[in-house]
Amino acid sequence: MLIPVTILTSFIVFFIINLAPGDVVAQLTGGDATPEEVAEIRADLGLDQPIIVRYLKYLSGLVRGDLGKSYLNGRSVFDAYMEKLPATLKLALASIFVSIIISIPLGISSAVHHGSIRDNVGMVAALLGLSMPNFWLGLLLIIAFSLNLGWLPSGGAEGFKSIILPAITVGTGLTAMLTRTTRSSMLDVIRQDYLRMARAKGVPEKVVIRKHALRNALIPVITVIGTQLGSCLGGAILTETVFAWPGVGRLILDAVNSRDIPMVTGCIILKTITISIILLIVDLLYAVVDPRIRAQYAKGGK
Amino acid sequence: MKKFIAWLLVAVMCLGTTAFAEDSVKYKEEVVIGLRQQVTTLDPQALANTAQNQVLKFWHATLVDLNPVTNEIVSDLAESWNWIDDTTIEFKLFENAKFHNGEPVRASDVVFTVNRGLEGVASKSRMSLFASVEAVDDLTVRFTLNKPNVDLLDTLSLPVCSILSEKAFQDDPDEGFKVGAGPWVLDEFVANDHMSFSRFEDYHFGPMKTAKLKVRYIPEDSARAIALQTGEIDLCEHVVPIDLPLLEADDSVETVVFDAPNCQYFFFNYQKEGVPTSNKLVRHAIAHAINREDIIMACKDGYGTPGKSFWGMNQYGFYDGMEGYDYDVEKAKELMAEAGYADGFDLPLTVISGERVISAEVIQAQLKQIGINVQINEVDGAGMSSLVSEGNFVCGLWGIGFNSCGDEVRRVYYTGGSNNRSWYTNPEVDKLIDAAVAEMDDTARKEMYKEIQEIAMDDLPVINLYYENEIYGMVKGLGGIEWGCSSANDMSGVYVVVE
Repeated sequence: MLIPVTILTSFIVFFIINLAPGDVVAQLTGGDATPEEVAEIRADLGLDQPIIVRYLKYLSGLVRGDLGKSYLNGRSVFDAYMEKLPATLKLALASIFVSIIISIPLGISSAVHHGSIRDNVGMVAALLGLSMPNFWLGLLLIIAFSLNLGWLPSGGAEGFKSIILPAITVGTGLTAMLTRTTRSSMLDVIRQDYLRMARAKGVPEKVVIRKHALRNALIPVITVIGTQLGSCLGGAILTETVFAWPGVGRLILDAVNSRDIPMVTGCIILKTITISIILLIVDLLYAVVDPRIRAQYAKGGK
Repeated sequence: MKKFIAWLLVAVMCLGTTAFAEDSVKYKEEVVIGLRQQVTTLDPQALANTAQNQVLKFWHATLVDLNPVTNEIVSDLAESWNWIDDTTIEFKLFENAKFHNGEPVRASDVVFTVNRGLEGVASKSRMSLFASVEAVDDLTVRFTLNKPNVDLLDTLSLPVCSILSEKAFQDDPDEGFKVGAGPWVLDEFVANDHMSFSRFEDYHFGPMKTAKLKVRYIPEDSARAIALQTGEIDLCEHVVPIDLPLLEADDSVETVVFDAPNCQYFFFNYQKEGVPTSNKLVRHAIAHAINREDIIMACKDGYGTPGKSFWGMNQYGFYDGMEGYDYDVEKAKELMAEAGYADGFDLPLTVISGERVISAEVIQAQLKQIGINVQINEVDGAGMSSLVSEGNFVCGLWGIGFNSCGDEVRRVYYTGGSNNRSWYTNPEVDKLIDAAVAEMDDTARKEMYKEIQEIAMDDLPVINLYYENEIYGMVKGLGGIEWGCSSANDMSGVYVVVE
């Protein structure tokens, strides 16, 4: 499944970026080259050949596991991506963590107190996180926590402290979706007969919610977390810019702006692969939380 | 007389105390500079843009250097130089100049640099000025030019002409350019993030005052200014005017504003036929209808200097004495009527997304007054380059940073010049450009440049909108940088005095 997806992705990206006007030569020369020099550089890079020839050449490298080299500085695309991936992974996981610790309690409390003022306040709070533009929230946080209070650094990626503000910025943006999913999934479960049964047996309400309801409501929540993690791994370009966070988002953005085709295509392929792996892990996680799915997997295996 | 002696005494005492203070001054161990643009490659010959130019001088040295304030050529690796004839020049290298790998800087390294540069994307055009380069002895190198070029020394002072170590490339053919002969040794380069340096103890002009230097890439303008206020960085490049009041209100930081060599301009496609702007009168009318002050106010909160001649402010031969085109809507309307466009027309204006769109919108409103209906066509940087190089536009907005040498005009006005975005062509101007660069007589040369500017002012392929003001923020006690109108300020001497 991964192989056709990769080839299709490479095809689409390669052709789309070629449709955009402009090429890397202007970046290379700083706009300071005569038309003859430009033509010479284009020939050196093979940019004078028809696009289909260039794509087939790229593809022949790709099937051998070679993602090519950046036009701009000759660095291997794989190395450049892998160098930035840890920072992005860190930020993605931290953001998901922030999102979970806000959303799940908020979602549960909204569901349990369905229709009450607490429910409405919770939903509005979650929505606020979504509606706030990341770059603006990021700047507000910098002004509050680094400039005025001096507790946290304003940017960079050195040490644990530097991840807090970017993680809050990205994480709060994810809360709306996750809170709503938790709430609706919990509402479905709360109405089930087995919960009434549990209460009738005299199980304390807290245990009913935590053990019986939440666990059964988790499947859609995990799905949402998985997709959100996937989208975070693409890099949070705005947040990375505000906090000077050296992740893959900016790498891809800079590559697009300079029309560094091998870099853009390679990064997006690697991103596709990373996201596919994450989604696979999510699928496996279903089995961990839900014995019914585990049983299904076992049956399929026979 | 008594008074004079008293003053003299005071002066001597002052000198004495400063000299004394100089000894006991303590400098901050590590200075951190925040830049807005990132460095993508370390090879000086592979890429030449502002981001590279800002940092290359930290670890690389050139034969000669340019003082950004006085515009004089001064020594860097070359102790002295002399022209043997119109096309031959000899450089004598400092005997004590060394590369960071311990090798002395020798004439053979200069020859190696030029030969390698013939292959470099960015250096090719510079290095092909020479018919030959030879090492006369260990410390003497002789350049023979293809044709006379008065601006040679200015060219050699550019970071793209940094002298590379032959030995370093023998040791490491892929990354030999990490070794330079500049004041700082490159310790670490993390793409998209930072570079760190430690001072070169054997630097031929003596070691720097600061022990360590770090350059951080902080792309967001406001975040970079805040990083200065929180003390995470000591020097903040490119403060945007909107953040300036905040920095001015902060007692721990200082700001400096100076004329930048960057010029923002409006350009026509000079060779495009069948459009109203191919009529000179229409171009004159547009120039009269644009109010530069409004644009500077809208884009830069007033931090800009209106321009007339499309020429670098600190560029050799700058002449601003012509009449130019004052803001005069009535005059513009008359010119439009004279050209037969009293009812106006539609004008597509191509512009790169971002700040310049504001200028485009101001111009749109201003040209409306003379009946021109401007349609703004927004593209990204790479798209703009390609549309313009294919001649696929009617008019546009762009910016350029001028270097100090007179022959810079070749880039913008010569037929087929590398930055001739207006597709300007005028045989007379081409002839003058060729003659001026070979003219050894100062007065005659300046006269030619004046003539070029006057012709171009009448042909009007380009309207100079304004020269940018550059603003830097820094912590109190920072020094060692000469702020001047150069395309890249040399920040290598930076230090922060600790009280």
